[in-house]
Amino acid sequence: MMAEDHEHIQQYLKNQSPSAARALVEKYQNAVFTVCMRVLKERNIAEEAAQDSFLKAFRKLGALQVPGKIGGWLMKIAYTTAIDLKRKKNLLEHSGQLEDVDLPDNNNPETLAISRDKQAIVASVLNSMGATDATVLSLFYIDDLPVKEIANITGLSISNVKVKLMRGRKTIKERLKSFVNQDF
Amino acid sequence: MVHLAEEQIWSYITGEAKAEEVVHVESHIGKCKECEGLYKECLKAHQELQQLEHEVPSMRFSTNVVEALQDLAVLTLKPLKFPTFRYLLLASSLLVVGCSFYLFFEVDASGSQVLTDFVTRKNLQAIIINLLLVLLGVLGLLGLDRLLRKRFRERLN
Ligand SMILES: [Zn+2]
Repeated sequence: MMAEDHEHIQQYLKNQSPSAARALVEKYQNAVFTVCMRVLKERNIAEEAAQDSFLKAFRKLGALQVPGKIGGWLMKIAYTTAIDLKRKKNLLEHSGQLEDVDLPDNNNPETLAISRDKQAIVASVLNSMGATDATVLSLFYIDDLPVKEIANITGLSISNVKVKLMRGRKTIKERLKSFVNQDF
Repeated sequence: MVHLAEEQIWSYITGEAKAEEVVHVESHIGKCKECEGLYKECLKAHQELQQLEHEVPSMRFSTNVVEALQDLAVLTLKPLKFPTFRYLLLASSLLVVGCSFYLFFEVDASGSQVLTDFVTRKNLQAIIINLLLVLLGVLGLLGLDRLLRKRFRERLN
């Protein structure tokens, strides 16, 4: 798989081959888009950020030292790009929203009652979390990345990643608990 | 009896706990209903989290990226090698040559004597002047292309 990536990268660097570019995009688009979604929450804006991330990545593809690390490298670019876009958006909207406040509103029984599916609850909690907390949780559980790699992608310290992971888990646990209690 | 900290339970679940920690957590859960309950809640959350999947962008996403990439590739091509000084020199000497040709033919074109059946002096004048105009036009476009690419790259960085 890594050899395949290496080959596509070389092809792209050599003659900007569109098929090599497409192969790389298709392989990593879900991971990149997920990071953008965790930060930006809205599909169309996240897609814009994901596209920007890929364009940036292809522009500096030659600077990628270890082709085997392209996944983490792309996600790091995606995270930075998404955070930048979020800042710009916040400035534009003059919204007083603080970054990284994770206070999922617990008083939303309608949506909870409608979506009986626990996965939908986890997804909605993830969506209501702060950008960094949601990204950390997502990288750990969906991308199966070690804490060290998550720290590298988000620019946080390892201990900070651990704190955010713990906080995220607790939030998910509490929300699931309140859902189960409501069920009976 | 001191209850387990939630952090201990989580590191037990995720497998980060050391061997003696594992023994401690397991023996405590075995004899404490309260911590067993907490453990079950955490485990449930952990399992749900593990089932999460990637978000998927729209169907057209990869096509959009590749197309944007190609647009960008065209615009960021290196400009043709064309040093500004030599470029200006060439353009102005073409102009001078063109003007002198024009004047030369104007002065001596009254006779319109026949060089061959087809090529009269007047004819020759028109051909050469047109050729020079086309060359000047091409040089102008090359210069514009160069300028725009430079602008675009400045905007990218
Ligand atoms: Zn206990």
